[in-house]
Amino acid sequence: MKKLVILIFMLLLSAVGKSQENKKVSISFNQTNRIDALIKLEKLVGYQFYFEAQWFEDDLLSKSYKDVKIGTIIEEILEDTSINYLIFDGKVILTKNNAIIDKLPDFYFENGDPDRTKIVDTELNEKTKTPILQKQYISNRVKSDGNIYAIGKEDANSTQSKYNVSGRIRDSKTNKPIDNLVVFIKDKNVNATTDGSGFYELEVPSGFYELETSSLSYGKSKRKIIVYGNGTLNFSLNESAELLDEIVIESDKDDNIKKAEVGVTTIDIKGLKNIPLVLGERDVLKVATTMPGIKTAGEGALGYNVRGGKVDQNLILFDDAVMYNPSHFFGVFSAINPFATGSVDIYKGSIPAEFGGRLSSVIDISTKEANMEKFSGEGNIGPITGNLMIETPIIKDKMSILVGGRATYSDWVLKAVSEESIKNSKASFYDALVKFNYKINDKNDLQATAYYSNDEFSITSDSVYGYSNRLASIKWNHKFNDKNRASVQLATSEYKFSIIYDGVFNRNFDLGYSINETQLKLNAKYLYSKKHKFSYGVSSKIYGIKPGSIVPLGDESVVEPKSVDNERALESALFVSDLIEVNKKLLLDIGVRYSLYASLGAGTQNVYDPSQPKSSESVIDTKSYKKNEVIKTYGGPEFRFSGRYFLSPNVSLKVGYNKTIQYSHLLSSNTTASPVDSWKLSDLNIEPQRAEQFSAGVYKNFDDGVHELSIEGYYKKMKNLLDFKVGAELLLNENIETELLQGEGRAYGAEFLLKKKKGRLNGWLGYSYSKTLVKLDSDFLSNQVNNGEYFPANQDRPHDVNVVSNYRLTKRYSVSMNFNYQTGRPVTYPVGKYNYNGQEQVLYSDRNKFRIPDYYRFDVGVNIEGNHKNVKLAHSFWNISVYNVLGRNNPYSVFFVNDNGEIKGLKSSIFSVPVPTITYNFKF
Amino acid sequence: MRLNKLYRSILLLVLLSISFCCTEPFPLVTESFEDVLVVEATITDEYKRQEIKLSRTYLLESETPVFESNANVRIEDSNNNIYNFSETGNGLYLSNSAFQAVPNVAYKLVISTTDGKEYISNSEFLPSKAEMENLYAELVNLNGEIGVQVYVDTNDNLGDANFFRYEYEETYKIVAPYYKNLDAIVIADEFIELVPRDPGEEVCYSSNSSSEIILTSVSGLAENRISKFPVRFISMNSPTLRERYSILVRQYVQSADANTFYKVLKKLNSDGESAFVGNQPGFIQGNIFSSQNVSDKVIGFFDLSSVSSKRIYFDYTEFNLDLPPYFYDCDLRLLDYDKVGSDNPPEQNERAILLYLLSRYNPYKYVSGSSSVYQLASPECGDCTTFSSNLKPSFWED
Repeated sequence: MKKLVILIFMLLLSAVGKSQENKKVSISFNQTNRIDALIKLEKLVGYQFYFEAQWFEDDLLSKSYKDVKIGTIIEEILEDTSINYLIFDGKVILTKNNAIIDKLPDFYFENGDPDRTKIVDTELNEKTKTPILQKQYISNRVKSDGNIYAIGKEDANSTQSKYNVSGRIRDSKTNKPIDNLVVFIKDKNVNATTDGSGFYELEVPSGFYELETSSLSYGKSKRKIIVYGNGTLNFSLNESAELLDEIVIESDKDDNIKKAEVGVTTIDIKGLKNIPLVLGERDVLKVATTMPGIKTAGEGALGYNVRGGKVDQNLILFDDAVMYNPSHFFGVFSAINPFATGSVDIYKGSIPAEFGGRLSSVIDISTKEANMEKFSGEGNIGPITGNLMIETPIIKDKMSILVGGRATYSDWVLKAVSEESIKNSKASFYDALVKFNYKINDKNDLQATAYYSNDEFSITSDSVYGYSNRLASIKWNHKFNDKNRASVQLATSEYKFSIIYDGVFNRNFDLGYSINETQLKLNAKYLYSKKHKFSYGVSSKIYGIKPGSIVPLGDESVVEPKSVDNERALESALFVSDLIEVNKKLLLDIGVRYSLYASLGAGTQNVYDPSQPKSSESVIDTKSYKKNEVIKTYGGPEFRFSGRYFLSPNVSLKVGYNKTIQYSHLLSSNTTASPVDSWKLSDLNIEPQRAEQFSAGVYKNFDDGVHELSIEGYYKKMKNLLDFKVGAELLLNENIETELLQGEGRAYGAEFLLKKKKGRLNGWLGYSYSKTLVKLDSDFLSNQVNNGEYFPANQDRPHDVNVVSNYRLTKRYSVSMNFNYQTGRPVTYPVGKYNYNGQEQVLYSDRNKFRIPDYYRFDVGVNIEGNHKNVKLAHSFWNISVYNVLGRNNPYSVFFVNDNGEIKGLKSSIFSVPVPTITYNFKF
Repeated sequence: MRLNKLYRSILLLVLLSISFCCTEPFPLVTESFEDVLVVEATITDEYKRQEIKLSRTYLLESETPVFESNANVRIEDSNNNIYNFSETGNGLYLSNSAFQAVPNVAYKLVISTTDGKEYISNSEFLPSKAEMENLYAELVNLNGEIGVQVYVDTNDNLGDANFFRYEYEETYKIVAPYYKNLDAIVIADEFIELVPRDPGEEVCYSSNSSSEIILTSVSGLAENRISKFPVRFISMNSPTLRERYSILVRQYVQSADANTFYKVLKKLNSDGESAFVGNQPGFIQGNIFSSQNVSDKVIGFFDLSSVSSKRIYFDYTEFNLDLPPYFYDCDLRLLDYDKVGSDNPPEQNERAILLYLLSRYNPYKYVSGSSSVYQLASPECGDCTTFSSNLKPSFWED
């Protein structure tokens, strides 16, 4: 403070001469830059000018002055720069940012002008406006140190105490604006979030601060700033380098405690690269299974079990189109291209009213918007697959396209093997997608996606299995005004599989199955008021199933060409929901969906004698239906309710109630799903599945959002769950209802999740306890399982622990690890054997009476970033992972076969040894 | 190029580790045992003493079946006939008198066990009759293995007969390759003498019964008949083809329910084609129930079946195959009686070896030689009765 006073006095002493020296001159500039203009002026007036050339940019001035004060001319030359000046003793001193104050503040010696003090922000607790000098804050530091950003021009006459600091933040690699980035001033309660164009604006008192940004994908960054006045600070953030550390699931800070929905998981795609891989594949959905409440039956199991639901009870949407089988090669790989994925939201508790048709969850996958600004891409090369995604604008900032593809190169390897049994086996897959974005104008935009995936494999040499997904969707978003928005979506998808059996005998065949569905959906939002925000819409979906055709293969085959009746149905729904902000603490989301399903002809349906078990003998009538004739309708209201209440600013309590109806069912007589399981629509004899779920949770954020904690619980009741008699023949069975058992189920559990979102060490710990019980009861003995009592469902695995963490060693190296423990899956185990037909046979226990041994696995991975040279072709990194480091032989299934009349027990596991992989990733 | 090769093998290893390596056997241990009655009862339209087998489940790690003895077994028909069965041992019960199942009569099985439990089957009817028309053999290549395939054809007028189950019994002639009509015997533990030998040790006949469940049906086939249905495959390297071979195939026409029972039994037993997909196993409900407590388990299906059968004979030469190997590798030894070295090493004392191999504990068979040098063959190669029977089956046609 003492220094400051001395300086001010020194300046004051010489201030006397200033007005005299401010003489009038005439001068003109024509396309002159500021430096040249100052030099010209210097020559004219004969004063010595002091400044540094690097302060100025090369913009040009054109102006002429006649008898204008030197001060005014200099002022105009320095306009729009952050340079101040002082004319003093025949010298002109230019300073960057600082104003050299040549007199004491008016109220220096007294309490000051009452009018003036009024406008001084009292919040700042500053009575006086003090000059800002770098020296005050940084001792002996060069003023042009790159780490300090000076903002604004100090106005010596200003009494304003807060200035407007604004700017745009872009991604340094893609140059795209970064939205949703939190920008704040350290230790001050000043913050803002960037908008869609990366723009932020902060009200900052003058002085020296640290401006920090924080985002889940870009991590934290700090910039030292000195605020002199209003000004801009634009900068870029680098997703790589110092920001390796994030493995992030929730992308919006505090969303977890703010939103009304219970049981929603959001997967951050950027964080995926820090999780150890299996066979070099980044897998969005596999990461989802590390979150509480989402499980698979094991490695290589198809589908996901969400909160005790079956694998067919998840609505998997890929840009609004239903994806029936999101996996490749029996679930070892996911069919979702990680580079093209934008976001994944999993609704396991509260399902928004716009979604329906599945019992357990909605997995909503959106591909990312193609880069509108420049050509870019990403790819990787792993041991099994290669993956490349490129995106490019067609019309800059208006229209762009993204193309991605992935394929295995394993097939030629298998072919190259001389061993006969392996030579004939096959395992190959590929998938490809195209995404198109078009911003028509401010009010309209359009996006379209097309996707195709294909798998082929053969395990025995005489049969080849294949399956494929084909999806396409188009969506038009329209904004009517600030309060009304709507979108129209048309989505179609098809799932197909085939089995080609080419053995030796005359029973060769080619079997094909396909299901397709097309949905038209109108989804609108009406922001009625701050209190009420409505969403509403209508959707209608038509299903078509070709359950199978069997075609004889070759002239010799005596197999009869057979085709089971096609199935058709219409599923429509009307939905409306209201997000009600009752008060700051209480937020309610009340919705209802009314769905109506009609099974349509043409077709025939059997009517069975209700006093007998359904079988070919108990058919009392066979009804025929004409094309588009309604066979049977089902439907009903599905209430969706959730609410949030803030117990404290960082703690919220949520509850939810959810009702769902499912009209299409996966027919599976296996303990785990298979890609050649077919889907069946509800009809006269198969009732839709129904479920109700009650859930509640407590959510807490602490340490400024670094840690997140949540505990959720749920109870779910299910009706009409599908199961089958032992040994049921499901493929090409026209009277599938004779093999079918429909029963009740209940699931309940608790989920615990602790996340550390920031810092060198980050990750999460999840634990869930869940039980799923099923009851298959009937008046008929042949339709009972376990005497009609509740038993654990196949997906019942009570304890599940997941630890996923990542530690950044240096800017280039980070290590990550996963640990997973799960209770073993229930199995039906032999309880004895017997001789029958001259052969040993196994007597099985009651269904799911035993469990296979517990599952645990530990994986580690290392990410090595490429060098950080500025000029290089592509940004790259290596990932080295070891899956199942402990080499734990986790049994996937146990089964019993008859080998020459003798029973043998076999257990299979998918990855029983540590599986190391190395993957090269690049980005340009 | 070397790198390429290395890469390939690594990749292959990884792939194998996913798809092939990881199925391994594990020892079966019964964790909790359930003792259940097992009923095998197929009554046919053949006029004979009908058979019913009763046994019980046993421990997984056990080898010995447990038979159900002293049960009271009878069949009642809708004409109020009662056919009583009596135990003949090993859980086999034979009807006291011969009878045959006839169409349009309902049959019911009733079993009372010594533990006081009673089991009653549903009423069953005899399905339609369907004759087996052809039984024949052809040379085929089955997934790279060459061999003889035995096929069945039925006639094309099956009527209501839809579901078929097959059983076979194969019988093959065995000729010991080193049979000689002289035998070398040891006299007084020291001397060797050649004596004439029993001619019945040269030719034998063995039989095997099918142990797998062989099923087919006409539903799903273009023709209303069974044609070229593969029943039995014999590899060209099977010793059973070395001499004349015969197979008897029995065709059972069965009901839809019986077919379902056998199909599920077969399905649960042959699961495991893929490590990824497992069928849901469980208890296979038959048509026999406890009359006291319906939830008491009982295994088995009371099955009425019309039967037809055929037998064929063939030789490997009919298919231009090479002579298949014998059942055993023949160990031929040439030993010199006069070579009496020290016992250390024992190989040098050929006389001791010779005498040892001819002793009754280790009856090698004489092949050739006299006085000093003898050729011997391992017992199975010189005498087929060591592992088969020299009784010629009554049906056998050479």
